[in-house]
Amino acid sequence: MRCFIGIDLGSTTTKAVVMDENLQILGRGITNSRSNYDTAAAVSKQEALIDTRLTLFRRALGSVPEVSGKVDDILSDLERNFRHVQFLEQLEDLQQTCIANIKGPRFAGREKVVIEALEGTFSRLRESSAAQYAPGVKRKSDFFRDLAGAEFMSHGEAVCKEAGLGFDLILNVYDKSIIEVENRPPSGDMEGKFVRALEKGTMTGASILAPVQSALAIPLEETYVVGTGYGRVRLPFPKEHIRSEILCHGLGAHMMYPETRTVLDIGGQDTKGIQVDPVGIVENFQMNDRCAAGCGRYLGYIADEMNMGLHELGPLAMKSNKQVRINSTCTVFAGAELRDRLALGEKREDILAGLHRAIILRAMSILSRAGGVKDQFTFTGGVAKNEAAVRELRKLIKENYGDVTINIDPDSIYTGALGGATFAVRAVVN
Amino acid sequence: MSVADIVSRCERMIEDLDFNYARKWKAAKPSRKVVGFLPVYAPLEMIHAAGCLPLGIFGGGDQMEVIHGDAYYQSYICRIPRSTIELGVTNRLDFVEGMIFPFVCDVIRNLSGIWKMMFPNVWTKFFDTPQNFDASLGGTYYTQELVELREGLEHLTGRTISDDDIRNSIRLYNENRRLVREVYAFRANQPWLAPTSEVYLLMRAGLMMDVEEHNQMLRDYITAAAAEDRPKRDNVRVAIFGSFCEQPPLNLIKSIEMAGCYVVDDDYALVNRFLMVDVLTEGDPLKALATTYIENSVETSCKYVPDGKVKGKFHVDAVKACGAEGVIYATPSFCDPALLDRPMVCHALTEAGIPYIAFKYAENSGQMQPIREQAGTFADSIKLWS
Repeated sequence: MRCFIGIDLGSTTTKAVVMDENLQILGRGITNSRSNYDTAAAVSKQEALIDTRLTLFRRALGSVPEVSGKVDDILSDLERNFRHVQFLEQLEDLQQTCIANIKGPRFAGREKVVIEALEGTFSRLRESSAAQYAPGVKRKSDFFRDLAGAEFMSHGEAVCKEAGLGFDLILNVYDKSIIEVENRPPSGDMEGKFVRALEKGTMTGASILAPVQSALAIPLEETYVVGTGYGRVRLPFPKEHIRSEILCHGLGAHMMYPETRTVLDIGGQDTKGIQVDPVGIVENFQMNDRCAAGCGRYLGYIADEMNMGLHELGPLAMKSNKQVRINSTCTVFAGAELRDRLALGEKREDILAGLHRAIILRAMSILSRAGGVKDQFTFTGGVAKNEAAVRELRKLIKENYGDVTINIDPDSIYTGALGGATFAVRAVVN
Repeated sequence: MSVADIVSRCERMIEDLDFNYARKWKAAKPSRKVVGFLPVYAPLEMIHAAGCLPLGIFGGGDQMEVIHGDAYYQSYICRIPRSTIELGVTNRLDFVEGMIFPFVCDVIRNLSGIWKMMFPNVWTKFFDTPQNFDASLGGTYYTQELVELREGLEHLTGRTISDDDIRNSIRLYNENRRLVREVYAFRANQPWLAPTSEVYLLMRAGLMMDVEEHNQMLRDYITAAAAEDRPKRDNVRVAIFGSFCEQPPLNLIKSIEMAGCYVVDDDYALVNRFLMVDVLTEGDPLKALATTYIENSVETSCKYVPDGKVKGKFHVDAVKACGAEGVIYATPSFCDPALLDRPMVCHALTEAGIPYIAFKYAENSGQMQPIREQAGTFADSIKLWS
């Protein structure tokens, strides 16, 4: 079947969306950008194609009466097993890479012990991975680096202690190797992994196998790929396959909410106010012009300053009942202002409430420059997940522009990629 | 009235971004009108003589959230025009029927144009003061500018402004300027009795109220402050220059004082100190105002000094007159006039052996740690040098 793919190479994460020719979303994929846009683009695309397969399975199983009501369980089982197969494959690659990297004077004479320690560590990693992918277990991250890293630390340390070996030796090899593994383009053979996942699974009935296998047999043809985001120049596409982020965000927001006329996107390093026409084409826009003050990174910096997780900022700010006014436009100076306020005895929640207000005020200013807010208004980007920021935005939109419908989609991180995929469909179908 | 009462009343007035004093003043009589004016100098006598309340508009300060104001200006200009526009678009100035934009710089001149377009029902006057200080040229030009101002005010109010009206107003403002100079002299003499955080509020509030009321307030303040029992500290005496247009937040002024400085002279909101001597109350009042402006007004960055050799001499003389030991040249970020003058003025200070520091602020600066750090270091080093 014809697949239309949009890839958004962001500064933090890379997102991909696969669409069919009827503009239906088939799959979404995300990965960390890891300063290697080629690999990030390949990985996110593959992730979106995996998601696409799952959508096709869902469609195929939808017509099987025996499994009605159980499709969600079957698919989550299948995906879980697939992820496990994928994890083990990458783990194998990591082990081989680690062993190959044992060279140089610091290992002289100790190669054998280090290899044994590594083998022991990886063997425990493989064993414990079954628990990580057991039904109902919530994994901390979807990225191989995070999952393998945490386990490697605990098992590696134990193995080295037992062997009387310094942990720093194998840690050094690991650090070097994980970068290599992470930057290797993903291996193909997605279908083969799904077959192995099916074998691992508990559902063996022909009523399930046959439709899943037939869905697996549908070829996914990459008909047209459109790239966007900061890293888009790195995409190996001809120029006409590249679209600017603002165009993609505008169109993506239109696809999620067709009545959208104004879009606010607050990402990691920029804030955009975008006006779109009834078909989702950008009419006018404004971006932050001086620096990244008032963007997502601002909150990241503040979280670091306060020694908190990024996701904890919003909930804490919600507890405030006396907002502190923060006026610094500069992220670094806002950090200093924050310490100043703490030193004066202001409460953390009140300062945070003020910081959220400051971010949204800057966004309001950009929206005003872009021509104001029209009904409907769609808020996208990572900051849209922050409840305190959303609360301030709702307040200020109401005060300044009256009753406007405000849309916030939980999948708004894919807005740019969705716009890209839509451009891909329009390029071929229209 | 006690010092605390006077100061808290002034502070409330300045913080009131809805301008309730002026609104009430206007509502008291149906014929009354309020005319706003921006820094650095406007002949308030003219507005007063027209029966109007001159209302000083010095931006929005640090309590104003600018949401739409940024949309009218590029990012590399100061904040006062943005927050002034914000005051306008949020209807906080909807009772102000006339606005005078004196020449400060291109930004404020452009603001007068923006105001004309945005608020076509408001009488908006770009008040272009002369840059030629030859009485026969600049003086004649300025008299003509005052004639136009009078016509504009007459048109706004529908009443004729007689020469006697203007002379009467000049008398009141002469008294105001005399009292203002008295407060400044009192502070230069005993700065521990009249902290600048108080004097500043007293002066700023005066630009928002009836002149006679302010005159009384100034008298009350001098009496009350002289009676205060406040300890003299081991502070250094500094003069502040460069802060004539966009005003610093009150916290910045307090921070400078807390860091160990007595401010003994400043150019904050210059309006009521712009003319340094009494204006003649005989003869042609417009000519009298023009002559005083040409011959006896302060030197500030919005005025052209044709002779480069005397540039900065005014500041050096001012430092000597008030007995300051150093200068803090504090300017708003992106203030073209003050920042272009800074090297020349600071050069003149160096030549005269006067130590100085320089930093920038915005009316909404929130972070005072660097200010305390710089002012504190400056104060300590002056003590160490002497």
